[in-house]
Amino acid sequence: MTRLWGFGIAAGAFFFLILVWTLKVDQSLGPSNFISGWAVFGVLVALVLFNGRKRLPFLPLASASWWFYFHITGGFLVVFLFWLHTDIIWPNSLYNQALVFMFYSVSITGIIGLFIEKTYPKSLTQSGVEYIYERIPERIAEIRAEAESLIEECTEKTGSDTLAKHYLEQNSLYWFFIRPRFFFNHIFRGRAAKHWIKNQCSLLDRYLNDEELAYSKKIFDLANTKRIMDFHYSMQRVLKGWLLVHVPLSTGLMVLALWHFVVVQVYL
Amino acid sequence: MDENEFAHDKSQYERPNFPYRCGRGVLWQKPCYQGPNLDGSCGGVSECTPALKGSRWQCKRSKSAGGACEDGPTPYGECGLKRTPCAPKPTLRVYRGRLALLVAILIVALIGFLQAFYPINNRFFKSSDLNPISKAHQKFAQESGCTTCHASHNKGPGALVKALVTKTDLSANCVNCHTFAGPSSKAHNGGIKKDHDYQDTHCQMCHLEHKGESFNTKVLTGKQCNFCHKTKFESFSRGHPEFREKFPYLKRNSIKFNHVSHFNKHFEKSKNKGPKTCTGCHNITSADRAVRSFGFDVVCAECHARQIISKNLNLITLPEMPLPESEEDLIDRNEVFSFCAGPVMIEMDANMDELKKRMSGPERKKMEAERRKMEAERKNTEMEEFEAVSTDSVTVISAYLLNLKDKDSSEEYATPIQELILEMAGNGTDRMAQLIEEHSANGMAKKLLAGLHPEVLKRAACAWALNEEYEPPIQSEYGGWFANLVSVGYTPFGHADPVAKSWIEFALAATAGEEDQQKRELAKAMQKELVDPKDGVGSCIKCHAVTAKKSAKGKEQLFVEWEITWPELKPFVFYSHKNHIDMLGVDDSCQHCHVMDDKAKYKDSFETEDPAEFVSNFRSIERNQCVTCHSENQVAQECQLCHIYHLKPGFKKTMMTVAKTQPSINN
Repeated sequence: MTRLWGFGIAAGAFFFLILVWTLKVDQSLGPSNFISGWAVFGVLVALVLFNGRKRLPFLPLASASWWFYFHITGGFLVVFLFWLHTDIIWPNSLYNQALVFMFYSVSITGIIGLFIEKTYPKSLTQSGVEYIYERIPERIAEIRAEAESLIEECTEKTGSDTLAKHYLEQNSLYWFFIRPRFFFNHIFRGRAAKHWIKNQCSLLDRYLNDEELAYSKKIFDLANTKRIMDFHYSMQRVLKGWLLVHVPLSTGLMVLALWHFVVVQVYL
Repeated sequence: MDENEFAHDKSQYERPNFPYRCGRGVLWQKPCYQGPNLDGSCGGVSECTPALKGSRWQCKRSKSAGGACEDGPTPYGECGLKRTPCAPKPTLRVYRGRLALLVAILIVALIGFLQAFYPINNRFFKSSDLNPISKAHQKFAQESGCTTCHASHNKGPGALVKALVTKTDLSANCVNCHTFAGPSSKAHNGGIKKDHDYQDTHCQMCHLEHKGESFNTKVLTGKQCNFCHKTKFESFSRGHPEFREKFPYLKRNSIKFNHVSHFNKHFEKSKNKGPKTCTGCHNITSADRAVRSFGFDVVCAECHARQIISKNLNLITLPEMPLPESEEDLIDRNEVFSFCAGPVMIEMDANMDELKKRMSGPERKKMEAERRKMEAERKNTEMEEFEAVSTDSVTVISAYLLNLKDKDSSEEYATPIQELILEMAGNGTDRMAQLIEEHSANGMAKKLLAGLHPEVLKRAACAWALNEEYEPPIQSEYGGWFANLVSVGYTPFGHADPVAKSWIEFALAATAGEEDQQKRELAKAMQKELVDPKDGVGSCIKCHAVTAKKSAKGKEQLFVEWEITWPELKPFVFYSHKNHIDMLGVDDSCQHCHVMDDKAKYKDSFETEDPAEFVSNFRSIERNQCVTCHSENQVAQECQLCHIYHLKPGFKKTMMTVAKTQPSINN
């Protein structure tokens, strides 16, 4: 928190410096837009360096959390610098609209990303278990294999195939175990998966004898484990996936900003 | 989470930076232990790479992958747990990189495409355009497009790179169309004070473009003015300097019109003639920076027209002449007689010769004797009964033209006047014109003697030479040149009479640069009489101011303000009377600002020829009078409302041609 305050104060001071400088140049009838424009461009480049830092973890370029907070405060700072530079919220010409649209898109996806980064890890911690994202497919496959072996055992030992048939029914347990489910429900922290499992359980129990019920209980315990794993998968997928939007838009913004720089240098 | 799960012999090290992930994992099956290769091929076809130990192949599967398998390698050294290869898929990181690259390529391609195929004025997407330019500039940029102002535009990549490292001067292109009365790169075009060190400026300091079609590039703000001006203030009502003393009546008018005396005295006396309000004389329909008055015929003629035609010019007067046959008498009457009556006599003689031929001898002798007797009697009468017909003195004009030291001394004027009279009797206006030309610029005689028929001078001179009172024919009632008993003069036709004006200009010019004291005195005397406000010719100077200025030759000279010249309009100040009249009403709106000052010595201002020494018969206008309306939350008070930045802004003719020939931008 102290670090965030530090970055916030530094960003505020930087903005104030640029504002005063811009006003001074503006009062002297100079090209004040050049000051704010260069400031925006400089901060954008600094923000892009965060991605570079992640690619060079072996270099002693400050900690990842330092860069993260720098990126957050820099991101908010550049929005205000951008407004100082453009003077308006939305421009007239199509080219400028494209540039501004790109800037706002990057800013908005960044703010959404920040929200995700700050809230989703807490939810994951609250689930009580930890799963490594890359190993989730393997764990799902293991759970599925375990569930199917339990069903085979149940069929062999009880001579009843009720559980096996139910497992293979359409949109039933097989459908659930084959891959992560209830993606969108999970990312909004819904309870649909839990209800679905409970529903499957109560639906099946009336047709099972005591021996089968013991297997059924084990299978639905596995289903609950899988549900929590699905939750982890969905949340981690979003935690990684929002960058699929933010980074390409940022690249586009930098290209347009570079072109804007060329245009300004050539035409003004 | 079980920490032992990640022990070195139980778990493989995860490498999320690897670009591919196992194809089995993608299908939610158990991924192979080895995972995909860096090139994207499957790395898990076999569980391990067996090693030859002695003569036997040994399984080398790691403990974390389950340890050595039971079956072990084949006799040929191949893994015994072979699988069909999977199709590894890229990780999210790779997809992210590809998407970013795709977006960058798309944008670069779009910019390149638009630059290559739609370089000029494409209406869809101007990739080099900040915003559309203002409508005022659009039509002038239509022919050359962006290159009208931006030289590097559409000149290829080389020009772009060059422009990146060189400084462009956009202002240089502005003056291709715009003109000013001073240097364009200096503040106020260097036009407020001479020898002032003006700051360097460029057009873009104040005039912004590419702010949209409807943007007004001329609108400025007060802070832009405050940047240069030492006296900085918030607004007109807050801090603007007070108007200078005597504002706005800084220089005197060209016409001496005393508003106080006219309103308080003359108009009171003649209630029917005088106007009731200011609009009786001032034309508010064409009011702008000044509210000009109607002309003489509308405003002044009613009272002043008669005064003009009652003041004559006295060109020459017959003074008291010397006695015949005296030493000063130069006039040979016989010669004069031949000038004046000669042609008639010759005709009579010819008729007589004809008569004589028909007459008998005695009759003819008798007639000749009578004629000789008559001529002898006329000579005797002149000698014995001489009485001068005039006791006047020489006119100031004659004295000046003949350079007479003392125009009242007959000894001084006798000879030149008699010579002049003889010349006039002989040649009419020739000698007079010659004298005028000797005292003025070429061609002046034409103006001064315009309309003077030679016979007018000749007949008067003949009579005077013979010491006879000239009996003029019936004179014109409408003015012009005339000769009477003992003088020749001119009556102005009316207002703006060209001959009267010329004589006044001649009199004023006579003193300029005249170094000869005597001539100067004579010129002054003539000037005093002709420009006398009351009795001068036409009484022109009663109303028209006389101002000292430098002539074309650089000499200080007096000029008459014939035209109504309004106070010199300052090029950086603007004021609209019309807007104020429209707002305040016609009847008494003038008195809101223009308040008459009864005590002002207005008339005295015209005693001197310096127009700057002026006392108006109106009180100065003060800033507070304007602030009454022009202040916060009331009427506008921007600098540009009253002040103009540029010195006489205009356009080049070529630019006008372009504007005329170009069709609309929308075509």
